Amino acid sequence: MKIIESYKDFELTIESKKALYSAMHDKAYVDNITKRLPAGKSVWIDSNGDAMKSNIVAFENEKWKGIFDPRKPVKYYKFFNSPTLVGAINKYIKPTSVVIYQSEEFKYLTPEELQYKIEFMVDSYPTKIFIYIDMLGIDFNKLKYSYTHIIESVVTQNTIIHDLKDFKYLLEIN
Amino acid sequence: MYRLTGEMMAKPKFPKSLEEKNSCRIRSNAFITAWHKKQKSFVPEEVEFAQDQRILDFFDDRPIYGIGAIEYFPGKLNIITEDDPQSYKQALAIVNVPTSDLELFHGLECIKHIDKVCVSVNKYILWTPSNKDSITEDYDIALLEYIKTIFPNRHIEHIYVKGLKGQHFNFASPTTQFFITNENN
Repeated sequence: MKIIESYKDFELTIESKKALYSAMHDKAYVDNITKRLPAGKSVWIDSNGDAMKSNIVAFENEKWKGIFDPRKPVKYYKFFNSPTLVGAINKYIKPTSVVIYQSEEFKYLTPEELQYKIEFMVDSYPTKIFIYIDMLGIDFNKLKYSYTHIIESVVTQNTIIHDLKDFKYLLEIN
Repeated sequence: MYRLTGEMMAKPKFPKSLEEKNSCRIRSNAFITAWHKKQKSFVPEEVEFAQDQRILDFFDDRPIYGIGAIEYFPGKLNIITEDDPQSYKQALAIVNVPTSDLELFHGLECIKHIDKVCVSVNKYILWTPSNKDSITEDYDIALLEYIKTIFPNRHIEHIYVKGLKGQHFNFASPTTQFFITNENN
């Protein structure tokens, strides 16, 4: 029998990618976010945004190409922190909100990396920003620091922290 | 004595009967079992996760007292989940649902005298209600020190993935493992 250590040991099929993406993006808190969206366009990045809705524009990492319903107008990006992506979103879509929900871009980050990414979002998008964070997926010493301490230490000004329970938080910025 | 242990020991004030019921309990849930199966199904051939193989290699045929997310192992190992844990020579504890430091301590206490123990921990799902200044900064080392307080004077082989992120099936089967034996063995 083959022993495997990581995802590097095999190639994912399209069906496997679909199952994996679906498992990573459940819809449990989608309504909680959509009810807070201001009028206007909302850009969802790596967040399984419902691109069939007229107010939602979904951007997904290009590694997931091929797993979405081809009728959905999904857009793809290569680098999350690319100035080209940021510029295109701000110039051509002019969103009133940007949403990060169950995004891989915000998983397995150290608190320092998480803080950097939150600041990057604030600096990049002059809009309302929603960032969902599952603290179970953040990388820090969990015997030493409480989740409350970490989440409070990474947020920027103008942020409301919504406690969604079970170690999950929704940051509402601006 | 490790300071954290003292703090944790002092916290709960359960009636004795409840204390006994609460000990030796590490939770699991159906999602873990399903996710383990699902991730293995991504590979077209039959595979074993490296961390599971280490567990299979560690134990012998004698009965193994099992607690936590052990659902994958009955049928592959001689796992027993009932009766008095003290009557066993081998134990397997898999911690893979959100578990506080206090719950972890109590969960492992009942198997601390067993000769041969594997504790497998998803280090992402632990939590503590308040900051603990006395804990070592390096999380992997802190975990080892924590396990040492529960299993003092034992030989502990500590296996973990340095810089663990999302690539190693840790949420299906934890990659941080402690293989605990008596020093004389």
